[in-house]
Amino acid sequence: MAEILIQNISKSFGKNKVLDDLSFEVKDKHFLTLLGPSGCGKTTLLRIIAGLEYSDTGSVIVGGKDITNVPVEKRNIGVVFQNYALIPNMTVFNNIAYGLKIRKVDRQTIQEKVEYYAALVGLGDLQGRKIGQLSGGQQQRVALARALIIEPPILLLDEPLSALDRKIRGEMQYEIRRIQQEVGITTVFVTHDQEEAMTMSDEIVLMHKGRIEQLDTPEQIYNHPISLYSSDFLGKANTLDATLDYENGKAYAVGDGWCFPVVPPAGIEEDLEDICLAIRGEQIEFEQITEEEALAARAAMDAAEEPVPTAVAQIETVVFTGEVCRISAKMGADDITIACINTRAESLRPGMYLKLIVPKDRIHCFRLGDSEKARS
Amino acid sequence: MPKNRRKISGTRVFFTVWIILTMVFLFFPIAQIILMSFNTSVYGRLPIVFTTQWYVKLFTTSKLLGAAGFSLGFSLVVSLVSAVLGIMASLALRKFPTRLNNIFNTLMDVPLMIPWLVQAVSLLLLFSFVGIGRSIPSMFLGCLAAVMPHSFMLTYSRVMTMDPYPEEAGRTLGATPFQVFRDITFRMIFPAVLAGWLMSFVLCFNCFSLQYYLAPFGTYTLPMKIFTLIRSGSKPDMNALATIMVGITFAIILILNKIGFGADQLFGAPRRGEKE
Repeated sequence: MAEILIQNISKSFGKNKVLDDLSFEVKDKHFLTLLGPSGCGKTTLLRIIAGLEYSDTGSVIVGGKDITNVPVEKRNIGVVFQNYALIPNMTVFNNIAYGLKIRKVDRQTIQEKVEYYAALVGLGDLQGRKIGQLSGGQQQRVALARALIIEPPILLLDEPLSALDRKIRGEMQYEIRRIQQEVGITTVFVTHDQEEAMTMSDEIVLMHKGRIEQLDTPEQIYNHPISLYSSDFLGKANTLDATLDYENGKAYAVGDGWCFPVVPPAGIEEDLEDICLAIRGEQIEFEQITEEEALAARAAMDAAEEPVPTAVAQIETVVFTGEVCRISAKMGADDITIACINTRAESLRPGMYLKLIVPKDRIHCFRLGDSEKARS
Repeated sequence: MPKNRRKISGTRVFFTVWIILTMVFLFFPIAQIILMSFNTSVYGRLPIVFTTQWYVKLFTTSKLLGAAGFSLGFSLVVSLVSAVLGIMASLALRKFPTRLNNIFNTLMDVPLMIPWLVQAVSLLLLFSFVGIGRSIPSMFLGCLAAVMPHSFMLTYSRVMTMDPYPEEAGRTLGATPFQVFRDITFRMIFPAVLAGWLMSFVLCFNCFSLQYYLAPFGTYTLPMKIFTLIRSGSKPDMNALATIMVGITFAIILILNKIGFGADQLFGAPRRGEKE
């Protein structure tokens, strides 16, 4: 088992810069996810670690050994591909055993190891089957066993679950995590699915246009996104345009018809600068108010010279999604989505007024530069 | 008879008859040759009086067998070389940049379109110029040039549509490029290679015009032999030979189908009720 060090990796295809000077570390036995939209370079990075692609600059170090110029077949890295990549003319047994046969391991050992890894990934007695006779989930298990049987120091998974249907995907997420912990293998996982990334990973590298946007634990990225892009990619957040207003040393974000007290983003001292807010729907508290109260609050805000914290919203729709209800509402001129446990929303109807309460540290402020980056 | 029985439409009858006629047109001449090979009459006169004398003649006094053996051996060598070159060209082309790939591909289409007669004449000119003239090597190269595009086209289309990931997976598992080719690539493209090889074999066996122009004096392939014999009248031992060849062909097709290489596998033709 080993740790992985990625140092200053860059890669271009023609004029298109896919990876731009990436560096990070995967600790021993950790499960790290490369997360990002398609085209952000995550698969290319994985292929560079695997040796299926060469980087223009930088180096890949696994377990203290620089493998940047080692050819694929000498790297001894386990790789699971998106579409399983099983060898179609071989049985399950021969697919799993292939790596050992190449290494000229004796028959007895091959038999024992195939038994062990087939059991580990939960394949049971399917070893004699042909590949075409397996379901997607079973094929993925074969691919996993085949990658693990060569006992590699690291395991790379390239969107292994995207071809599976929702239910099996959930099952396999749990299975992959269990096997990874049982074997104790350093793992790099590629996905564009933020939910998958959050459930499975020790750490997430959020990628954006060939660069690392944020590298942290799932909790940290979710609760403390460092940019609008982060807040928007991991769990859809409400994004609101506002103006920063200092009054008596306190900072307020003033929008069109609402105002929140905020912690200003670092580096902004000037008054009246345009900023952007990200607020997660489930972190918004609310209480129901009457129409008179709502109108009074708006009137008070409009009349005052200085910013008055006001957040009143009128419900437009209430969507029941199971455990959670999503309330779409109009706060001033902006749309806002609030998520709550469905029992809380039972009495709510379109047209009703809500007073919104959001703790200061749950409102993430970003300079407009960040937001423009996210929207491009 | 129940009244609600589905009406058989006129179009349906028309197409059924059409298919039957097509099949008759395709298979009647073959059936005729088989029948005539057992007929005593030299001129195919009816009624058929059963005999096996033509088979006896074929294996004793006839000069056809030697030519047939030569044609078989020659076509076998040419088609094998053609299959190997087809694989090599396909795999090399896969790594080419798209534009070069397209150019090469178009160039490979040209020999498919040029009539063999034209190709034969131009090749004879070329070989005479080079100094090998009419000889076994020039006949070999000529036939190879004529059939290679066919095996290439079949193999290439398979190579380009096959899933490349099993090969990459093989590499990550420690297989060298050669091992990947032997264990994975070749097995995946095998049906197309087999189809290409069969096609080259048949085409090479048949390419009379090239053989006629390029064969050295005194060397006769089967088509050349038949050509000379047919001018001096019909010879029923030819029918006997044809019958044997048809028999072998049917046997090969049956065996291929049995071991799972039907037309769908070999040429990519869809088969009813099967999904990929």
